[in-house]
Amino acid sequence: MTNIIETHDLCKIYGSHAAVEHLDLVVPQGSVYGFIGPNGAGKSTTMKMLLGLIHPTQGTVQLLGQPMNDRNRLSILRHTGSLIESPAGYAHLTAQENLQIVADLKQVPRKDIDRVLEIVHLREYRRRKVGQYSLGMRQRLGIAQALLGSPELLILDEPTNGLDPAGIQEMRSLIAEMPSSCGATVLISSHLLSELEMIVDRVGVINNGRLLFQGPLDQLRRHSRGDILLETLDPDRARQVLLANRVRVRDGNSPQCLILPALTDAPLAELVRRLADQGAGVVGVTRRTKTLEEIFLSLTEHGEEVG
Amino acid sequence: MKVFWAEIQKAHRRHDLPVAVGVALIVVLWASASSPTTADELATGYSGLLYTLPIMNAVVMPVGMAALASRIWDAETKGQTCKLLFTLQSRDSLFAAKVALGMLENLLVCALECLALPLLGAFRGFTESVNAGLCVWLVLCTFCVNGMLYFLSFLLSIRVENQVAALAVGFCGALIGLFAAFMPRWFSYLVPFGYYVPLSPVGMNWDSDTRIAEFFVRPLCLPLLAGTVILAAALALLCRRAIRNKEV
Repeated sequence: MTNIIETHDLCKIYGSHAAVEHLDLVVPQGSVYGFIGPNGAGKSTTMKMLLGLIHPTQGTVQLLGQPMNDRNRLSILRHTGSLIESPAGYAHLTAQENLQIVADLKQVPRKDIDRVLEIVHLREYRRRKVGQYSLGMRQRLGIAQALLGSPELLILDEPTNGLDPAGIQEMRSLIAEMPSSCGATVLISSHLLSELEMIVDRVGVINNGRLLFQGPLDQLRRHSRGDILLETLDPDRARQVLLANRVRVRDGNSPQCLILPALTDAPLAELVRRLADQGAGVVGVTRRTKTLEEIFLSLTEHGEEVG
Repeated sequence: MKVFWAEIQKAHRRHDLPVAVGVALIVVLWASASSPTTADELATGYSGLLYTLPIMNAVVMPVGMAALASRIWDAETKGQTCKLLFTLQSRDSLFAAKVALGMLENLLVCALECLALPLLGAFRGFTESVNAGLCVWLVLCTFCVNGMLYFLSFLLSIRVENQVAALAVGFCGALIGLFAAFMPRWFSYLVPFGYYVPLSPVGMNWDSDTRIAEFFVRPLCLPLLAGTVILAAALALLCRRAIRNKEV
């Protein structure tokens, strides 16, 4: 599998503040890559450097297999689409007119406008001025602008910002379909892991400008797997069974609750079977998912190698 | 060409054309309202017009150019479009397209003003023959000073997101420019907003006893025109640099 984005030792330093440090980002072709980190982690700065909107202090960017520089930047970016921070649009013009401007600048036939309006479900509102659009509609227009010309790569910076739950759901399914419907690789950022985990297959976790983790989503899930909350009718018996199976146990916040360390699915199923056999009366087993911050801590504590 | 065409498309429904026509119309209507009526005055009608138009320009054009320049850039500020445009076109091409559109609007304003001169003369019945050379000089000077003020306002619009700043400077410039028009000549050279007046091709001697105004053709002030062009070019370079360095 070839990589559609590769950065090497990418840094951006503002005065004494390092916004991005030694970033080696690798986005394989055909993937939906989630770029996750809290606000101010360096996601937008990285994406802007990928698009050449800001110059890196150090390091290189390779997009679509070509090292990007000032000379070839625009020709490379003709095969990409982007939505950075908030959607761009002229409020006094209609969606159709906004897309015509982008199509002309991208040197894309205007007939492509119908296709992208169809994809983002804005076809019937095409003649309405963008100033009268809701935020969700503007976000979808931003996606439509990015999709013009069937780009090989889409760079979307927090595209669900400010959307209501229905809008988030709609945007999510739209993005998830991109590789199959448009053949595009997607790099999408968010500060919420939960928002992306349903649509991405690879993730990069960034904090304080440093890439803490990069790899398949399953690998990250191992880190995000938290403690297990066990609720039983007979906690004393359950405790004996667990200790006999060398499982460390802590007290929960009610007498019937015990807290077990993170376990993978198969050992957990076996443990529940044994508890049931021994008459511990298992009432409930709940996995406690770690927050993104806890994952960061976990990644840092374990000194995880960035893969 | 495609970037200029995109700029034209952006101007759609922004009413730039009515604003440009309006700026010229204000000056023309003002000039028409203050046109001479007596036979003596009609005999120097064009000279009087060539004398008063630069003063009117000094009042109207700084605000007019600020309005045109800020509208052209404000569309990008309000639409947060720079981060999209800079992935589609070079920053220099965006600058060039906006300058081309701005200068076309400036040309339209000057052309309308030029066209209005003989029409006003015919309408008011001026008996003096029109001096085409002086009219061309007036239009050329107006275009250059307008261009300089356009770049100044454009620079302010790029640097300060709130477009009131450019308009406020335009208003203040108009007042200072008008004030400078009636100050000693050396002082008027210090106020670029009012350069219309020292570049005027016609001067006036006013006899307060007889209350007779005598118009005369002034030597064309080429060094000041050259200075205006150099100032405009310097401001244009600053605008280009501001767009090149614009944070998105």
